[in-house]
Amino acid sequence: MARKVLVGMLLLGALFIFGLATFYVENWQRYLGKGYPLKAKFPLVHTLDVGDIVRMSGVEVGAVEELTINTEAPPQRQVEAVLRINLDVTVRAEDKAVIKMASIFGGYYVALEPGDRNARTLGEDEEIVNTAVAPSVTEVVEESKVTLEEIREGFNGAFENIDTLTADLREGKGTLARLLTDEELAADMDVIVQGLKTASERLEKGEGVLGKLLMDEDMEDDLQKLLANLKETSEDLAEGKGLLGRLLTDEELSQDVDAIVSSLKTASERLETGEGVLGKLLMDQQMAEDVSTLITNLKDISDDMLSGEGTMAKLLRSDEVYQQLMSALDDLGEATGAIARGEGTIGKLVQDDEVYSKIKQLLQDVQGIVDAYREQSPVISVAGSLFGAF
Amino acid sequence: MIEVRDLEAAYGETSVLQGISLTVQPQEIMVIMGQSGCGKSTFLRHLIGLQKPRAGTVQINGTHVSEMSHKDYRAFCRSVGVLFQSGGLFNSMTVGQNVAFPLKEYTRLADPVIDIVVKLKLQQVGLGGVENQMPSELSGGMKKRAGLARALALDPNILFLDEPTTGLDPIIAAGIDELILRIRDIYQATMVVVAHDIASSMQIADKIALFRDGKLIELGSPEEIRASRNAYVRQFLNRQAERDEDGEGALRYLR
Amino acid sequence: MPAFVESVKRTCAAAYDVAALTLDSIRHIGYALKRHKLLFKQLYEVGNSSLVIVGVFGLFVGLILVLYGGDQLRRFNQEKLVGLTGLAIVWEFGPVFTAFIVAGRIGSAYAAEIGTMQVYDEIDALKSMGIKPEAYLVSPRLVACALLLPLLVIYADFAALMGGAGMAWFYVRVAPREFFRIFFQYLEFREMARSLVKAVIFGGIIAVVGCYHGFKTTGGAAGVGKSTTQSVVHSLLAVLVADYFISKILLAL
Repeated sequence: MARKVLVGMLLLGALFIFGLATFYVENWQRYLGKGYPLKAKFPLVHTLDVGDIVRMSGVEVGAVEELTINTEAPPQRQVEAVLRINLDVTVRAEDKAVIKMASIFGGYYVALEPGDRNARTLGEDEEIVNTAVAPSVTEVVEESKVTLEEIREGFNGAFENIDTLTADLREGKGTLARLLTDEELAADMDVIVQGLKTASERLEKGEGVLGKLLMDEDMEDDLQKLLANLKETSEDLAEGKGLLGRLLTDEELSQDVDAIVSSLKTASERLETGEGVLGKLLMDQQMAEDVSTLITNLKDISDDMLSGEGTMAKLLRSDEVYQQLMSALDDLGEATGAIARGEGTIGKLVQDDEVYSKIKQLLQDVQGIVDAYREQSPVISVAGSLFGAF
Repeated sequence: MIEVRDLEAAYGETSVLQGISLTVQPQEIMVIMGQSGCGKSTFLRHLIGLQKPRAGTVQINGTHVSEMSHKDYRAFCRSVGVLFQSGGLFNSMTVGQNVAFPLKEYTRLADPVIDIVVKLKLQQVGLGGVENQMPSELSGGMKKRAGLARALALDPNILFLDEPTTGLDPIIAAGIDELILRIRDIYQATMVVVAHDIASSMQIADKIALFRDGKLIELGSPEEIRASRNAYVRQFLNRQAERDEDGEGALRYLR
Repeated sequence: MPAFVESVKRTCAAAYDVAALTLDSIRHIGYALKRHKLLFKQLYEVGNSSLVIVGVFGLFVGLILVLYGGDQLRRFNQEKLVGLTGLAIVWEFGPVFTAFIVAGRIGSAYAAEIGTMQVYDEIDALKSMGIKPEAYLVSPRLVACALLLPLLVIYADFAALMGGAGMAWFYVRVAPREFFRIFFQYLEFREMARSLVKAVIFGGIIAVVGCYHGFKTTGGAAGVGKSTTQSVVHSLLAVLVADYFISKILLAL
């Protein structure tokens, strides 16, 4: 009898503890010990929590096991997350861990974005070095009405400018267009390119990559001189009223092209980084397409937002991305405006590179938010309220 | 041979048996007597192995009943027949199925053979032709006899009978007494019988054990018991003395 | 205070007994399968006595769910999603209500049956013939309940869905086609499997609790009545408590 009572007591105790455990343990998989741990460091994790899911290309491959903050570490890497990844999933060294929003109602997950397929496979306890944090919806959608409106207007302006510009180019108007079509000039360009080639070959033989170039003092001097020359040239141009902008628009000035080309030639013989100027201009066409898709999407989402009584917009607030967007927009407006106004110098044209990448980033960010918004299905909330009723 | 040494038993905190020791020789009929609640039935349950002793041992043919493996216990059960106080028939089966039950459990006899054995056993206890009735249709005495038939089904060496005659009218009781004696002769069986009825006990017993409050008071042949000087034994016998006469008369009438 | 200690002791001993009975009867499942006549008898008992009532019960559960569900969904103009009530049937109502009915019909019958056997020395008679009651009485019942409850659940689900679809048609004005389209669109195989696993465990619980109360019976016919009542109360309680924990565990896995 006493033994029965004792064993029964142990049994009930064990059941009780097990029962309690079911209240507190949310993700049992972690405790079943499947998978291997990987580390990743983030500047911030929004509301990502232990037990949240890790996805690779949308497939669930693990869970967040641990989150620790280290205030001593640099701010860009102060939160360390331990991710437990299923055994049958390989993560490579070049893969990227991004904290993404699971739904517009909140919740985050860690997305592993595949990088170089040939990179080394990560083993237990190794770190995923490439990390990023997608902007939260709160940061983006705050005062969305104004922001989105401004974005739309800004893009409309930019789009028009680009349009005129490319149309001019196509019709052969202006000097740059002629640069593209005139055979004689092409021959000259050949010489320029030849010069560039020799210069770069010499560089390669001498020092190697451009990065090292900057470190080398001799070369730095060369570069300084080069920049000075460039500045001189452009100043000369400016004083002589022969702005490259006018080159772009004024037919009469085309006679001066030879002179300009010859000065270009001299400049480019010493110019190591002139490549890509024309390329950027041509790329604009693709960018214009990107911009137009974005605008369509933005229009959809802003319509949704407006008809959705704007509650979401009011709920959410933050400055960072708004400002980011604004500055990106400014950059873009400035650049395209300058091109259109014809004030552009070759240096300005080079700026396109920066603007282009900024716009690309912007497009991705906004596209992400648009997608997240679309993924919301009303069914979930309806089913919830239905079963809540019983 | 059944040997009981210093048997103690208890339900929870209540002690039921205290230091019982007795031996039953082969082919002997041992009658356990005593007042209601003195631990007779509990004693019997320990002999069968339905309960484990708190202290002491029960050995039957040299093996400890409470410590057998299930396989050994089944072998033991095959050689043992038990009649329970209320007959212990399975109410969900017919009388025939009840008697056939141990046969089906322990033998591989074909169904027709089993039917014949069942009929024979029922006839032995004077219940021919009730195979297809349900136990609930039988009277108390018939139930006990049917229970006896089931206990006899496997031709046991040892029989344990719990109050085979209690609550029955004298005629049937006498019939059962006779049946017990006859079975002992046919099966060469050792028997332990629990009973109240002094007359029938005297009739069938080779030895009588008298219990009082979980203790063994007196053990001996019927004659020794009758001649006992023990006050309680005298009281026990005398209180029944008047009815004893009736019982004798009834038995004489039967003869 | 001693009374409290006493009752704690009793509870612990009872927990031990139930656990021991469960393990014993699971250990003797082989015996139940070998003595297929016993098993078939139990299977027949369970199936035959529950079939009609489970069907009727399921039908009305479906009707009621759609009645309320349709009303709620109308508030959101989402009547077309009334098929989602089918999910509630598969998740919870099917297994739990079927378990309730079987606990009332079968669990109580087991307690009464075995209780009567206990009172009339039949259990002792079995033991004295070298037969373990756990093997002879409990195992076949356990197997019968654990096997048949999932089938009864499927049957109850079917009846409830029929009732629900009918109600949706006449009351909510959603065609059965649409009802089932929504239902199957959101039904996952995992959920079906989960509900059937639950049913198996509920069946085991009902059989063991019923038999346990049977064995525990003392005190003649009155005792049988008492343990019958107790077996029903305790099975219902055990089923609901188990439901919570099983759901919690199965959802987490």
